[in-house]
Amino acid sequence: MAVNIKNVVTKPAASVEFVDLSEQPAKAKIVRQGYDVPAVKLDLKKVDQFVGDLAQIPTSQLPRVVSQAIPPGTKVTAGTVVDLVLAPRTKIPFNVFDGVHLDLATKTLDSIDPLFANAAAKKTLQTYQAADEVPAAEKAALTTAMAGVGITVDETNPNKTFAKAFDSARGGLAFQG
Amino acid sequence: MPINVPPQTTVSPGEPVTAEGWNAIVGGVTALTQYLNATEASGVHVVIKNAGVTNARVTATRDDGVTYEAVAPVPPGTDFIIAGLRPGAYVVRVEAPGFSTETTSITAPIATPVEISLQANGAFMPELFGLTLRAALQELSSRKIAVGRILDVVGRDVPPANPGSDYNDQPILAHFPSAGTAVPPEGQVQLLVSTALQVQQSVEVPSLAGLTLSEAQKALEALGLVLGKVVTKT
Repeated sequence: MAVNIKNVVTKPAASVEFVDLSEQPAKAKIVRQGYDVPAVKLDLKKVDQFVGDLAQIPTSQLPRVVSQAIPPGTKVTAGTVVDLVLAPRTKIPFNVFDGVHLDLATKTLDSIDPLFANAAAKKTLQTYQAADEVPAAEKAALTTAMAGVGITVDETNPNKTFAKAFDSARGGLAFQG
Repeated sequence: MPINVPPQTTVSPGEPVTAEGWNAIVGGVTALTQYLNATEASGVHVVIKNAGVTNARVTATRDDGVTYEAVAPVPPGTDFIIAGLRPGAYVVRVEAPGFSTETTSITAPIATPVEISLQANGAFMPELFGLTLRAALQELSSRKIAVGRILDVVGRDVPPANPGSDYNDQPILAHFPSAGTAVPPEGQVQLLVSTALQVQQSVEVPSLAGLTLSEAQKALEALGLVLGKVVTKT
């Protein structure tokens, strides 16, 4: 039978839904900076042995967030992406805090780790949100403990008050643990 | 009824008005009064049998093409009245929005009212304000009124055939034409529908300072935020 191709009309394709009926599972193709990341075969026994010999990095030594792309308090919609910058605690200076106590101005956050090793002092810092909430007895004990890490309280010096010491230590606490 | 003009007699200054002249004046006034009375009585009354049709146009056209227009009824009256018709044949024509034009032939004077029933042509726009779009479309469909276009309050076109779940329960804010307006069979109406507000959850970005990467990621994910690029400095 002859076919008259003059009457053939080409119509635009409708949207197509693909249905994968193959038994093979999907395989990931991992790309880094435009190039495939080579798939590496590992000797799992040796890996286990290697990993077992390594010491776990204490949480206190993990890098901490020091900067975020969207400032705290900004209202955004769900799904917003937030970029972060992290740095080791040992390199973060206290003077990144507003109104830091004068004795801490040139020190790094890890310099008062011994203070956080004092359970009573740490509890006082964790319990109260502001210096004026601290009861007198705990205030005295905390003042003594802070003196042990070089933070002296002098209410006659506006840069060395208990409130400044308390707030600075609480700031350091955020980078603890 | 023709007016018989009395004899025209002029009077010069200082001359008395004669009895003949006076009687001519009285006769003329009497004839004019009788004519006016007869004209009013001979007015053709047209009654439209369909209830509520008050915005019709009723005319009577004489054989020679002269057309007279009826005075619309003043409530509580209901008759359209065509006054001043000379005796003779006329075609009475009634036009009203939403109805087919009707004509009928009469011979004036005519003692009884001319009754005319109009045939509906199309439909009348219902009041849709406040109805949901779904209900409004059903109402229009039941009246065989086609919907030409639907816009939402921000000007987006909404397909009349399938508005979608976002619009079905939204109220009608306006429609064209207004309620009660006749819509001819080929006519299309337009609707303005409200828009469902798309509420996006707002999140306040927390302070992440001091957190480890895994802590920060947990904190962000708990709020529905996404951890982006991470730079670790040493």
